[in-house]
Amino acid sequence: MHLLVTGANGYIGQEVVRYALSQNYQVSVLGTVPEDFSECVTGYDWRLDQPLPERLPWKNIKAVIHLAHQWHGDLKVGEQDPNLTGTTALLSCVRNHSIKRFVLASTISARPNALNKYGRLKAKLESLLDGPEEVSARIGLVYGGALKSMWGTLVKLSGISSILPMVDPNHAVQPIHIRELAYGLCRLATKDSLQSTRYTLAAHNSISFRDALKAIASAYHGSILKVVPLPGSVLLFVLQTLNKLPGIGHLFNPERLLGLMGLPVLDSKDGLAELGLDIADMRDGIELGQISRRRRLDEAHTLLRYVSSGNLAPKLSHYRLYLTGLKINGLQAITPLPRTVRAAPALLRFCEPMNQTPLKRKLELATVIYETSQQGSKKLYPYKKVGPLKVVATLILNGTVETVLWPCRKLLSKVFWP
Amino acid sequence: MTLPEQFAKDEVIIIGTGPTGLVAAKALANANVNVVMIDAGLEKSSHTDLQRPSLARLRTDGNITEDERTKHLLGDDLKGLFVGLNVSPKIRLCTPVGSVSAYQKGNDIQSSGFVPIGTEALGGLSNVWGSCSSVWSRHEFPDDFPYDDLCASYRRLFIDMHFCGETPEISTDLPNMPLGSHFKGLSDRFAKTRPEFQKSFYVHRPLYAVNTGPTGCNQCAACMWGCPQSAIYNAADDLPVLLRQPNVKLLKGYRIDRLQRMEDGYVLTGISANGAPFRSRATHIILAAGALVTTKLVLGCLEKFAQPIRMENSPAFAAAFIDPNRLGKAMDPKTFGMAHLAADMKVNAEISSHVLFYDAGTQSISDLVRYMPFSRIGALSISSALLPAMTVALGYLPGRASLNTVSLNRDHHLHIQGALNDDSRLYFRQARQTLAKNMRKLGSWMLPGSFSVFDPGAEVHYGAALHQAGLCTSDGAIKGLPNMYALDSSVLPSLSEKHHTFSAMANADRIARTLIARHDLTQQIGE
Repeated sequence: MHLLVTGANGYIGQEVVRYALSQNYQVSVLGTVPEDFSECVTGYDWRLDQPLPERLPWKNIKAVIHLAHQWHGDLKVGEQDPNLTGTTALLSCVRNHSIKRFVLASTISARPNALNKYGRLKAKLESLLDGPEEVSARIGLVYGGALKSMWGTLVKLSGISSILPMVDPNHAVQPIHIRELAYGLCRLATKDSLQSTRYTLAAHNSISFRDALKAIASAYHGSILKVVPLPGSVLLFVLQTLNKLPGIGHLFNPERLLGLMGLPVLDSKDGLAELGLDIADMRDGIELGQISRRRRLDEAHTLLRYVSSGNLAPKLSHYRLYLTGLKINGLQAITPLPRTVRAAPALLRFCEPMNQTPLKRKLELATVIYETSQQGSKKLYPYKKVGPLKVVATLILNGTVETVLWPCRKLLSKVFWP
Repeated sequence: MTLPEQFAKDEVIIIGTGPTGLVAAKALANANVNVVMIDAGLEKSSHTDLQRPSLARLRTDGNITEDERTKHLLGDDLKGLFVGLNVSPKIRLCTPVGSVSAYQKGNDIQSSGFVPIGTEALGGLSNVWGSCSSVWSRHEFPDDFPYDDLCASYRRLFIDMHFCGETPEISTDLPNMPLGSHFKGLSDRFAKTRPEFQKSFYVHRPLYAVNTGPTGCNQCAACMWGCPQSAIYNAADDLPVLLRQPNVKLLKGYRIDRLQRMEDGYVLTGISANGAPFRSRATHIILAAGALVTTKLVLGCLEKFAQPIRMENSPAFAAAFIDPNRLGKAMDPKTFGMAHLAADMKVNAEISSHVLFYDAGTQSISDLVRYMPFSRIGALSISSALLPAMTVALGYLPGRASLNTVSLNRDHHLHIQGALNDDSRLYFRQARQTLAKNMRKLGSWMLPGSFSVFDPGAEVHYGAALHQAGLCTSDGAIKGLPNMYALDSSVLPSLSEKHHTFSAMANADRIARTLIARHDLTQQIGE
């Protein structure tokens, strides 16, 4: 199988090339070759606003995955959108050389009357497609992998502060992990026959944008994010003003915000089933990878310090036990802890959960590990006489503290671990 | 040995190598019956480790490395890290990781409101049991039950197995474990109470299937983590001796999923440990696969689908008690890790409860604090301070206070529905009040908020389904299925509040001997 990929150096493109190579496909790149793969792929220089190179190996190519997109400012009167001209040229070449399949990367928001330019443009590009082998992949909210593109923006956004004002946070989004997407696109390009020409590559079960942001904040910043609804127009104004400030540059792209605000929810069930693509819940999918390992170690540190009242300085062996314990108990999902608690674990006593929550089980796990450690077993089991006075003093002290903390825990545990 | 396509006509197949299957196999083998035992497990799950330091040393000796301590207290496969299940602590500390869920999944057992526990290992649940044994009295059986024969079997097992402690029902002359210092006050104060009090709350030393001889219990206190001396009875330890007899064979790693009746016997189908399906034929079958699997196989063979039948379990509760006289004292470094005292308690006019008292210091503190409503730090400080004075009570109610049903669907999935109703809640409440009151008279105070009720099934103790549904006779014969018998706890008439394993074993011995006496199994051998 020989694939031609455009936009291979982008956020999605790199992952598509990586996946295609892992499947032993031959890959040619039209455009910039990603540095990591310069040894394994053949590159042909091209930009959307340039004519296609002449010596492309069209004979061998079985499918084209067209990911390239050129961001540009407002067009002058009479000027053609390079995305449109480039895609038209590419398509006519594909047709001339009777390439089996053409896959256009589109978006869930592709509609002639979409709120954002990107959605309107993709709708226009989709209208160029013709016949059963020219398919469009309507891609949902892509997450995971390198912190680039919209995904990078979301990770940045969710870490700015623990309270995030956001337009329409209850808006439903359909996420897809970058690796699932790469699989889906390659499958669209290589599957023998397809039943449709429009595929939605996004989770069938949507989640709210608020939950998506919270999951990102939890996995990437270990924080509990509060998302406050904000009128769209106000935020747009703020972002546009911020972008004009020197030093910030174009960190926040209002175009992307508009894209989110106008997102519809599409039925993706049948298409995904046809492609054999099983999309994980974003809240689980986001936990993959190294980032979450670091978060889990942070969590282990906080909880072990807490249950041992600072008596245990966790060592590698304790962390290892904690990670194994998470696996044995199926508790891999990260529990976001407030920053203050991470800084001073003893504060957890004020807000320790009262009902069965994952954190409660994690605390139980940490207790088992502390109990088994040398410091813990020595401290917790009085094999030497202590004397009744000291015991009574401990009981009175802890009894009083627990009584006083009771209402506080009752309230705060509901706030933090609903 | 591999499973043949057809067993010989004179071979009796015993499914399961747990305590009941083993007792029956012994009796049959001694009567010259050819016995083939089949078990889904490949080996026993608890292992002898004579090098394991005592619990006190593991906890206090600075020379013991972190790795060694972890290995002994959490297990080689770190099974001790499995938390959050409201089940007997022994399940966490003794059973291999995932073995309980593998048992449920492998045997197609689903449940709601019930925790089905079993292990696929030679010796069955005797790998995990606390070895507490009880002799049930005559009034716990129906009038037509051959109780005298059962008593004869009880006595035979007393000679066969190592026991210690005492049982009010039969006078025995067994050694006793030294009484831990936690319990001396309680025991002394009980001796001074009036006979009327003793009638409704009788405190005695429990009966244990524990070897107290020179090679037996060394009082390392770590019974909860599995006995390193193998002093606690495990049916798997008797297997090698039994297998020396030429007429006994063992087929390991064959899980029987279905039994199907044919004209001249039964077809056994299932999956072997290497994942290959198998099929074999046999004429005589004895089921001892444990209450759940036996019930499942019988229902399947009778094709009784979607017909829920009642299954009993002994509803269980736990509570912590404090003896103020022991506050600030030192914990016993050398002691027995199972219960030191037991009490037979009248809960109300109809229901009694059997309560066992453990030294809290022989438990894992993590298992104690999880029931406390305090914050972790508070709970750990409080329980650590109270440990030398704390007794953990584990009580059971009789099976008739339970409300579970089991049913088999056409795909041979067994579904168990467990529930507590207002009656059982009332019994638990009454048990809490009566226990607290009686213990107060003996100078121990219930720790507020420590009383907790186990989910149905979480403390094991289940059975009696086949008998209660009228599917078997009191001699274990399955009605409508010639030459098929069951003799584990599923054929007990009802479950007492007292531990059932020993009674199920005695009953298995009785059934096996009845079959031998009646030549039910042996008639074809002579032909």
